[in-house]
Amino acid sequence: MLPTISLGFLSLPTYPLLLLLGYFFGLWFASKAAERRGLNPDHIYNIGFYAVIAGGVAGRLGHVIRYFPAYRLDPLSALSPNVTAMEPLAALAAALIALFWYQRKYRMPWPALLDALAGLGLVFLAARALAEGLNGLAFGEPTMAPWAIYQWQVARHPVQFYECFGVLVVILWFWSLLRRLRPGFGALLAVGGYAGVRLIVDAFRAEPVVVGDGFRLSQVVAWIALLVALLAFYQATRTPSAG
Amino acid sequence: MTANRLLPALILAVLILGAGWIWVSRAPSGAAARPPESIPLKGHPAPDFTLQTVDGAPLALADLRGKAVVLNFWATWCPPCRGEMPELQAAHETYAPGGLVVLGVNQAEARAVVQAYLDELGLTFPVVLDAQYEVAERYSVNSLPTTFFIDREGVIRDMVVGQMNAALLSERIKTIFP
Repeated sequence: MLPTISLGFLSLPTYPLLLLLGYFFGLWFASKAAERRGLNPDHIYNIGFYAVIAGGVAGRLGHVIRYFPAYRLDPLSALSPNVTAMEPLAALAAALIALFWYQRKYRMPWPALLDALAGLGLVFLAARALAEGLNGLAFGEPTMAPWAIYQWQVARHPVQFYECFGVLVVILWFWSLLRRLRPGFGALLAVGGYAGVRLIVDAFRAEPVVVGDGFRLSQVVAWIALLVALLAFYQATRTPSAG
Repeated sequence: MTANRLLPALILAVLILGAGWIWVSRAPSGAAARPPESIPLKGHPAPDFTLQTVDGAPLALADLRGKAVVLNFWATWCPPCRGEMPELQAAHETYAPGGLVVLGVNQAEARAVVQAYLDELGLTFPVVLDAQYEVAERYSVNSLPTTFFIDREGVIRDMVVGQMNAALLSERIKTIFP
């Protein structure tokens, strides 16, 4: 595991660092995907910027409102740099509102925009899987396989790295097919591809949430998501393209 | 169109093979009932340790079973640790009578240095000395301050890396001490 990287006197935690890198590299990739869809790539950077600002402000504001008695005693703590002092739902809602507002303002076509944002999502998910692997989160089942890695003193399936590799394959697939796919199909491919990766990989994840007779919930959800994406794909291919 | 011919077959294949894969990779019977491993992650039993307090008495985490514990890793040279000490002390004063323990784990500093710091800030919650970073390693603590929130059953319910403000601390305490 590598929870921190030491650069001289500086010790950087890899989990938030990789999430941050995933977001910024994801925005860059999404801007390239936007170009392929005939959108101005600057729009993607703008959406990314507004979403972060709106999400950050709303998340903290929600926290202040919820814990107002504590903040009233120390109002300056509302400016605390700790990013965990947030209301996640408020942050998500504000980021989505920023996205909808921007799409409406510039009359951006949803299918092309979703294709571009799917690129951001895939890169971010690959970075998150890598971050989990380096921090021993969402770890795998014990195994005797020669490629096992030691996490929490036990040889385990490197399931986070399986996931990261799988998402990278989906990214390559997404990129190579994007130009040939109809607008909106790139997003479907991303959803279906990621669901497929989770369906396969989560078989090796330890401590699953189970339903029924030992069925892994995440696999069931991924299976349904993959089928829905394929059915939507099939349905859309049966209707003529608007273009 | 090729896609139109291939897709139904693909959907059928995913339907059957996916269901088969889910069936084959079912969690072994009793896996859900098996207690999670004792590792420093949310939902897992907190790894046990025994260390000496500043007064020289041994204190084991297991001895605190039945009480909610705020386990805070800190050092005197760490400014964010100093920043959150008043909040931890306030939490100790408010919740200790109800059964919450704020337990500081000092990182490899001399007993006299730690005692002087506690006196200076007026801190009265128990502090143990992790002289060899042994417990910090077991808890994968790589940055100070780091705080674990452990419920009455000894299960980690949350963790926070970095300085906590009063609101964040009271929010997280509620997860172990409703």
